Amino acid sequence: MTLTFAAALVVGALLVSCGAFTAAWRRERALAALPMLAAGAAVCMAGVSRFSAGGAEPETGQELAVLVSVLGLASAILGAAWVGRGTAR
Amino acid sequence: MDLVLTVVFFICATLAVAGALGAALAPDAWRLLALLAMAVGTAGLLASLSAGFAAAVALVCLVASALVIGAGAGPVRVDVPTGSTLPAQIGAAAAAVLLAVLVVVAIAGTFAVGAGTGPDIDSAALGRAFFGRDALALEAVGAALLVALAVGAVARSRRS
Repeated sequence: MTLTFAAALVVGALLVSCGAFTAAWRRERALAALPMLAAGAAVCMAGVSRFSAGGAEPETGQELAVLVSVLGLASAILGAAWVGRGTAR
Repeated sequence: MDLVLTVVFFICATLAVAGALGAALAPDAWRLLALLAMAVGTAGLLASLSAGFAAAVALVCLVASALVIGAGAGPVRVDVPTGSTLPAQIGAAAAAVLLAVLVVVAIAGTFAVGAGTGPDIDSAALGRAFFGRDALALEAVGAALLVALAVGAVARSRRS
């Protein structure tokens, strides 16, 4: 049993698909899809970085995973602000 | 060592996917816990893929996202019934098709796979990438996060 590039891609695909399913199935939970999509993309990027062959700069995948994670956080904050703009407490 | 990393990878993959499914399907009381489980699982996945720095950043970002979505925003009320309408069913079917396509591409695709990278946190190489070659991307993402924080703070102050 070894860790392969296909396994990393499949797990990333599962997370992205869960995000798409969440956004489509339950509209009131569409915000929860954002971290799932970011997590799936980050796992795929880290897999590329881990298993890249002959790349001059293999840290690019790790760098993109970081940027995607931060973008996911920014979109979640913006989405929460957008959703709650009309609900005064 | 490879066997340990492989076992950790699959345990974390199970945790992350279960957390994602829980966030989608579980009752509202379990949503925050499910999102936190997904965050921990994703960080473990990244760490087992020799991306230690990305794992640390992803853990912070995903936990913060879970807190913002699961606890800070509160339940969101919408008028459209969910889970049983035709558009929701079409969307769920499209998500299943997306998963099938991605899995087929991942398994049947041909990739030039290498032996792997060096240390988990190569700070010198990451620093060169972040602040040298891709400094503009880092600035853009930082600006996006700053704008999001400002908008979120203004929205929260108006609600309270």
